Amino acid sequence: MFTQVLINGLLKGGLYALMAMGMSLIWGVMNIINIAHGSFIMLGAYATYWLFSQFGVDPFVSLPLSMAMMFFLGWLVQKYLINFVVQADIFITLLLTFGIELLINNLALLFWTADVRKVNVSYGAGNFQLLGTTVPAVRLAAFVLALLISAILFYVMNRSRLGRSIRATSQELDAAKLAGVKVGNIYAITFGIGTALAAAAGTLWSILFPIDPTMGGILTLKSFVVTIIGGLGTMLGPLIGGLILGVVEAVGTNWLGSTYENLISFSIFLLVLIFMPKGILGGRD
Amino acid sequence: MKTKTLSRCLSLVLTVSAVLLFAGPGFAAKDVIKLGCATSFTGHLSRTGKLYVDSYKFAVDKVNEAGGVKVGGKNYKLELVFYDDKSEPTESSRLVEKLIAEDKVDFLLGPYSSGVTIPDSIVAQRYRVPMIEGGGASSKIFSRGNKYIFGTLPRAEDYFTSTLEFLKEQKPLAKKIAIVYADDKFDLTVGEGTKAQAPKMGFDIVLFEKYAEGASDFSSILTKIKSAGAEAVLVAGHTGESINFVQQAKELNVTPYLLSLTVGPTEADFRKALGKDADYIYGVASWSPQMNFPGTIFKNTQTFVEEFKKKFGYDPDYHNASAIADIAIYKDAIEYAGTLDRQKVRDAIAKTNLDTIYGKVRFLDNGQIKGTSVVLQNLNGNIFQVYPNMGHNAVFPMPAWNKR
Amino acid sequence: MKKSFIVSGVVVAVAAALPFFLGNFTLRSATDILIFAILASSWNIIGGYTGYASFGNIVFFGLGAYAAAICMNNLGLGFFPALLLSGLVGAAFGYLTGLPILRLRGHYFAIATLGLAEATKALVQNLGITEGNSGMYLPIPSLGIDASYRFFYYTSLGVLVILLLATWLLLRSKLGYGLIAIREDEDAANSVGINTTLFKSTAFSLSGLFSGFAGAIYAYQQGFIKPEPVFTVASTVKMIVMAVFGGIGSLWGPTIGAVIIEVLSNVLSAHFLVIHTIFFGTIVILVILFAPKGVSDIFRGRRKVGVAYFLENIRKNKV
Repeated sequence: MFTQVLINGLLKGGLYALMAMGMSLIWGVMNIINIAHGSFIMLGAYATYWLFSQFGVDPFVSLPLSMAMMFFLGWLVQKYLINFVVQADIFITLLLTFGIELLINNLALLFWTADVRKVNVSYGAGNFQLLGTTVPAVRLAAFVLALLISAILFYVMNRSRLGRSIRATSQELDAAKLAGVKVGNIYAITFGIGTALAAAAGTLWSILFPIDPTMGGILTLKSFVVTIIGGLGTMLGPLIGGLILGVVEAVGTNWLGSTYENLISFSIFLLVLIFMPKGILGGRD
Repeated sequence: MKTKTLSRCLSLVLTVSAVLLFAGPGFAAKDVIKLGCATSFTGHLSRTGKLYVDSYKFAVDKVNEAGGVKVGGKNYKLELVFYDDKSEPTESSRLVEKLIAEDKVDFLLGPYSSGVTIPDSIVAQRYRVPMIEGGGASSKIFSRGNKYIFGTLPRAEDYFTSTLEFLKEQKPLAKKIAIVYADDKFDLTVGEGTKAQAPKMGFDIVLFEKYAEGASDFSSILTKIKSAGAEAVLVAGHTGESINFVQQAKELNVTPYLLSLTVGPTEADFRKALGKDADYIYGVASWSPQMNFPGTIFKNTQTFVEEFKKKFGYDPDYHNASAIADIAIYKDAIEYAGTLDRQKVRDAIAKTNLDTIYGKVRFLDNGQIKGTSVVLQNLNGNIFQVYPNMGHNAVFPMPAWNKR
Repeated sequence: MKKSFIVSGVVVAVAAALPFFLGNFTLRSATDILIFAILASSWNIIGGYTGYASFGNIVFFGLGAYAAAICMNNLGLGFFPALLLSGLVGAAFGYLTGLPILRLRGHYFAIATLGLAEATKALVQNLGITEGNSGMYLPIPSLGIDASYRFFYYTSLGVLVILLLATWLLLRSKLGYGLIAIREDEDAANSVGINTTLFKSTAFSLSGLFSGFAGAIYAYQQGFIKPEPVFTVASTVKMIVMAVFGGIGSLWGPTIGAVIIEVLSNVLSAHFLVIHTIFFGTIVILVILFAPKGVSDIFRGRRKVGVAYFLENIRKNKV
């Protein structure tokens, strides 16, 4: 049983990592905590659902499309909403993203109702045997995707011109301005990338679990935990954080019972914040 | 300084007027009996909440078509007043208070699910307004000496009794059972009740595990079930969770001889969401569409099932039937009492001995209906009662996922 | 100063007279408003005056509610002893958790408090004494209906008045000056010899005390509590928005914010059954964008509140 528990944990961890990447990027680069992060995951999930149920598009095929849609939405939100308060007190930004979360969730409830939906792909419950354990195929796909995206993100942020502008803006705002970098645009693009990543997580989530407009809340909180464990400002942080959280939750719930899941996650969260606030891979303060 | 004082007085005046504004009184139309109901139109319980709304409306329409309720020589029409409680207990109890104090309803109908029914019933008790609910089975609703709450779902503790009896008749003989339950009042009661009964009937409980209400990930529990070698798996939860559970059981290749879930398998929604994966899954209900009882609002169960399907386009299940019974009980009790006085109607409800399409209705002293559950199984996109056997045989054990 | 005392007195007197003019349901809504006013004003102590924006103050409310339930149900205590104990539980929890958590600043403090609230909720969901996630009953008040609604209203009003008085006294005390110093420049405050750890924890503890009282009143009025509603993040946001809207760092600000937002919310939900849910999110966004200093700031000695005021707020904060 223990190998199965471990596999369960690693695979869930991959999904967690994918979920947290967007939040970590936005937080690490712009020092903005996006409380509405879960709402963007939810929107990505719904985009996948509608494309699947109305047009029959397979989720993995529509993935780039939902990512693109969320990129655009995120870009708009940053450019025309959040950019206006970036210089204000930190908690003002927090409140703003809270407001955005409320608005998005309630609009979703209004248009799509609270009915729970599911993306029923034929391979949804597909699985195979490995070393005496059962490995669900879609969860494995999420895991692989998380690795892939981490690698791409790492490459983009460290090697590309866009990545350099983004990092420069995050490290030295005034110098970047003087160097002619359009900070507002960079922020908007970064936020857009963050929400696109959230959409990717949403797509995978929708194949595995049922979705509803209020699903985002706990996902935002879990993303916090992952980000803090891994450490801010690093591209590999969410991956490490996600895997750790996934495994600890799997082992912990196996031992204590599944109702302890959140207690385990948030206790780790608090402990890391108090004793090791920089997380495992260190990073931005 | 002046502006400050002025602004304070202004806000105060505004507040008081606004508050008085929406303190407007409701008024009762003549010859109408208002039934108030706050239930889950939206939220995680809305799938099942909808079943009650449809049934209440259907029953009330039929009663009114047939002339309404006779009180003191006059014919009264029944009128429903609904509010959406968003599946939230706090919101629901607040709305029940609104129904009583502002909408001035005469009597109350319950919300869906035990967790929401408890706070609602407390309000009913405070204001001394009878409430008949068709959606809460936990005995905890009825354990506080509340004389104003009546429920038409049988005791949650007994939900799986008939399933256990069914298992004893099947071959291969299932001995190891896993009991898995959500942590809300209803499912807790089912879990505890089943745990108490199973050993007496010769079963071994190899897993007794709680999960968080509304949970979406059951991998941890399913892994344990597999590892414990459970032959029968009994799950106490609500529809959303049930759908998840079955999907993930397939994902992790968990195939017990029997998989039964308290809420979900009997609903058309469940079959729609899972498609072929819903086949061979067992359910539990206080009623099945194969039964046939004479009724007061409808001629008998079969006529009800036909008419309902024609009007709403889906097969009714026990939630629908339970709700119909609620309206039938009110009509009967009010006519028996001969008055709209809440105390007298309450007393009449307690003495109910009525034939409805749901079955015979009699209440225990604590307000809960005297009843039992039957076992049903999903087969080829339909649900059939398999125990007590009404002509459909169960497929036992459940075929493996990859062998279908 | 005398004038503001008189005005405050008048406001309290009018509030005390209201129950004689209102029906039960409205009185219940008014009590809910008072409870939110208590929460927002308590938050103000740690968030407004000390400058530590806590996003988890709901934890004290939830603990207070459960403490009351346990005291009254399991220990058989009367309401007032239970009320007192609930406040003390909130205060103690605030002090003890404050010690490690208040070492964090800015963002980290905010999310730590968020995590604290969630962790506490998860703990309550798993403890036997709180009956886990299934909920706890409280005894039914033995008063008649009208009397019990008045009872809850006056208890809430009383707690609010005491809270405001305490805050007023606080501001004139060494502790109060210390807190404001911490808000303005914590390092400087430290170097001047202010025991910032002690002061911050005391502030957090005070907000816990009164939020705990609010939780107890709420629990007793409801008769039945579950973890999710009493530990919900949404309520934390609500109380902060009310404080911001009314004006943080002002005495009556949070109360004014609570009243206006709740009344508007109720009126809207009565008339716009569907759209009203969008209301709160939109209000938050608009307030944050255009008037982050709150309504009080608008009224505070400004001659004309034109469009320019709002636009200036944006210009100051945008990137």
